[in-house]
Amino acid sequence: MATMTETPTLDMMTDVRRSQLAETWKRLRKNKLALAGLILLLFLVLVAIFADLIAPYPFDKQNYDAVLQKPSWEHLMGTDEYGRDILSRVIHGSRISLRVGFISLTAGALVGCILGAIAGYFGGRTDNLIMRANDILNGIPRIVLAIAIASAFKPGLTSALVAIAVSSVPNFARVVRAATMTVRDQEYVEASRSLGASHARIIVSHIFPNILAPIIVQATLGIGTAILLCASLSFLGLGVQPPIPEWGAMLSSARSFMRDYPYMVIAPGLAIMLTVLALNLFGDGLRDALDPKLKK
Amino acid sequence: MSDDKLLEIKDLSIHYFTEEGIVRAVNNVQLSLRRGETLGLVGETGAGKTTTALGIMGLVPDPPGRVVSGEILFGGRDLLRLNKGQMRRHRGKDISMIFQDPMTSLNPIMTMGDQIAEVIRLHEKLSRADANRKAAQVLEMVGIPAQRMNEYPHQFSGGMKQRVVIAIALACNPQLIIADEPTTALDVTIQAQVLELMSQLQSELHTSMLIITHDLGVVADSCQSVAIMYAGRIVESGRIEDIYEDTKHPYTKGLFSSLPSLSTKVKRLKPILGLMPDPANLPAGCPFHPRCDSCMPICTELDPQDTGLGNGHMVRCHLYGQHDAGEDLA
Amino acid sequence: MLRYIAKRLLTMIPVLIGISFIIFVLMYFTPGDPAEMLLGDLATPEQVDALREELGLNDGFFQRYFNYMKGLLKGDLGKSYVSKMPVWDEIATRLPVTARVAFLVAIFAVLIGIPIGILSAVRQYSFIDSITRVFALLGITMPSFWLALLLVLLFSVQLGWLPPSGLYGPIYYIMPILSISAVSIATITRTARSSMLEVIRQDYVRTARAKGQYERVVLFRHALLNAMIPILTIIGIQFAGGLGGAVVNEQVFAIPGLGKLMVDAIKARNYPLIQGSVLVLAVLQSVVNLVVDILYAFVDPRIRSQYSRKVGKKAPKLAVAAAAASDEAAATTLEGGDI
Repeated sequence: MATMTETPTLDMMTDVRRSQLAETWKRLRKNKLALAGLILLLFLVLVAIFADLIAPYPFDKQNYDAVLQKPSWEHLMGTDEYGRDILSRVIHGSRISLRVGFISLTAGALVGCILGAIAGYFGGRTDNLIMRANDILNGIPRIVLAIAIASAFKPGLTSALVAIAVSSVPNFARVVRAATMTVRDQEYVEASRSLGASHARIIVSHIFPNILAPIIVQATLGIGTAILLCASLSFLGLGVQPPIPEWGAMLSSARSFMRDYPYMVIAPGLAIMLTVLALNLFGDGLRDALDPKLKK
Repeated sequence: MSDDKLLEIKDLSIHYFTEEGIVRAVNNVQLSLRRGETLGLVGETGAGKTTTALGIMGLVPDPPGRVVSGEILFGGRDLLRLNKGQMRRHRGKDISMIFQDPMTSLNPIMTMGDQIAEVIRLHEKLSRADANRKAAQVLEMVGIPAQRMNEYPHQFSGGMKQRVVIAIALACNPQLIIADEPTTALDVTIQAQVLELMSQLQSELHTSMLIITHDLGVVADSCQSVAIMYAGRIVESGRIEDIYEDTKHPYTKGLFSSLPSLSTKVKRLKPILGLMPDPANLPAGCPFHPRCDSCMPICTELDPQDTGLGNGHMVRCHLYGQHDAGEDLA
Repeated sequence: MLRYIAKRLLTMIPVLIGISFIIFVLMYFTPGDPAEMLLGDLATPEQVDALREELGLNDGFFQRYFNYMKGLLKGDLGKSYVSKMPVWDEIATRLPVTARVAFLVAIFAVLIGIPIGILSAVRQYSFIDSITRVFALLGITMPSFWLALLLVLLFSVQLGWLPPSGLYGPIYYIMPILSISAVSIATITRTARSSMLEVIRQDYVRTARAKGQYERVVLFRHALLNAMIPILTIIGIQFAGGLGGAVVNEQVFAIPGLGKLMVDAIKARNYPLIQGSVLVLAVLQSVVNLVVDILYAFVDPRIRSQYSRKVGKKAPKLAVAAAAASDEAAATTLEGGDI
């Protein structure tokens, strides 16, 4: 170790990271549940991409000769009150949910990471300010916050996106802040600080790569939460509006017919559950794989 | 002779059954300890010392660990045949253990006094007040003012915490104390204090002690006999003067020559080359043979048996076996 | 201890001011004219303008914020645009319903989640553990309102055992509590399990065993108490989850609670009522957060010593570390459970 006093070069660091990645993948591969989650997730993404090809009917094709049909070979999951094929709508719904989950979470994560990194890195008054703002957002139950934000816009995809993105910021800020604080005082950060690197550079090229693991885990699980939130908002009529085939919105309109046509509430709910399940299985596996000491 | 044996371990094997395979942590270990005696169990990290100690305490984590074979005779009774309740009554009362890391061995949310009184109340029929009084006495005995009873671990330094750990171990006047690397986690200056405290208390209370360490200096200071452990086996054991002056096993010799000495001037310390084998994947034959200077063909094939050299000096090496003609090599 | 509580109470004030400000800003920038909505399509521009004047909607941002804050300090949340009743009166009839549901959910979730989580940890890899983990995963992934619909289908439509909606007696609480608490039970179980698993491996638990302590006491006195910190964090977060769940599921079960009031108010652009509901929910949550913080200090002397008296330089650092640790525990177990 005595020969390691010189600052590790960038090449060495990327090498280390690459082998960490390989190591993580090796551990992940052993975890059957995580692998199942990953496969399910890939399947859902493919379904979303090729929704037009897979869906047996266009999602908005009304057919007044076949309203409220029970599941049959023609309509595997039955039809709704406008005679639209529920399976096709559920398939198209994956596009909406995955997109909302992914976009809103990326936006929220970006803001949260920046705020968290700044708070954790600089500490002191900056930290205090950011974390108090965080406390404020945390003081409102998340769905209530999302509802309040969504209500400030016209109900729709955008309002749901913004509401979910903003309400996911505090979580990220917290995770990233805690992670940054543990990395901040490590020798390699000290070293580059003593070499005169700027704060921004240190955060981006030294701190960030080393706290990527919790961020990735948080993001994977966060997409699931975002999808659930989106469904809840739409279910309340504050998010995505019909006729867009969002799962929560579908459940909301299926409610009125539930007593006589219970099959209508099965498929969309199952779709939400499977998607969130896939993300959770994969996210949990990723956490174990990235941090083996947690699993022991 | 056998009457004054407090602890006798016969043929003890403890394995961990993990997903990656069977880890043979302790293999056919023989050990004995007389009343009032201090025995040093020496070996590298991973040699199976702590597992042996946990085996005596009945605290091998199960799963994945299991005692596969052997007997642990304590005062003539086989501890391995006791049921859970009987074993529990022994722990803390007749046999107690001092753990390696004082920083993590104490419950962070209980006061020091409560942690000492806990073991007293478990094994002695005392009222809460009497137990607290006794806890205060024990605390004073290890050199901590009794006023500090109501403080929490985070208010104590490492050395002070280890004193409390020792106080817990001594509280019920056990016949045997197992000290697992009691000073490794401490500063050098504190180490000496703690060791001195331990040997002073031991001589006052006439307790037997099993000290687990990788530090031959500690052994020389405080033990009457030694057992050297390698890859889950006792490779050499005996009275301290026999081991130090009439060293037999190549591993023990290696240990000594890797130590700096004050009396003889050595240009360069001689480390034992290589690493200890993975206990999940031990080499065939004698587990030390890949690192042994005196390796013979038989060593790669056959695991050696214990050989008595008289006076309680035992060695486990083909160089000294009855069937070998390797005596002249030594 | 009292000092600590006082200090925490003081920190609540800026948080509440911040919350009220955020809500005000959101409502201020909301598109759509409440006056127009109230009067309907047939109203003349003069009528609309008169109503805007009456409601104070023609004032500038600061004037409106000033009026709003002045009201708040006096405990006046304004008047509902629709019913013209004081907002507080409307909320006062609804708040107990939602609060009762949320507290029952929290208690139910704690009583079920913690023991199951402990059992699952103590018997790791056993059959019970596997079943627990499967159900916990399902609980976290299932939208609570969907579970509510399924429960209605089963117990009301199919079996006819339970009333599908309303809140007229104890029996009416069963399905709302079951559906809302599923997520909380699952999350608390998972946290209790992982926290217990971590603590069981600690050296001090082994020390307790080495003392000859009974296994039961080792588990409860030594392990569980230490495992409580992350569990407490999660219980606080789950209370928020219960409140949120109540807000959503009040729609399913037609429960006349604060959530239904709020959602209806949003659809009617009834700002004072929205502001009031969100604020009251936030206050409720903040109080629960405060209680959780105080409970931390009860469990953990490291946090307690930071506040109860002046000690050396070491203690606050430790407490910060402990707080950070619980923070992290909260964050990692947060997702999936905070709806």
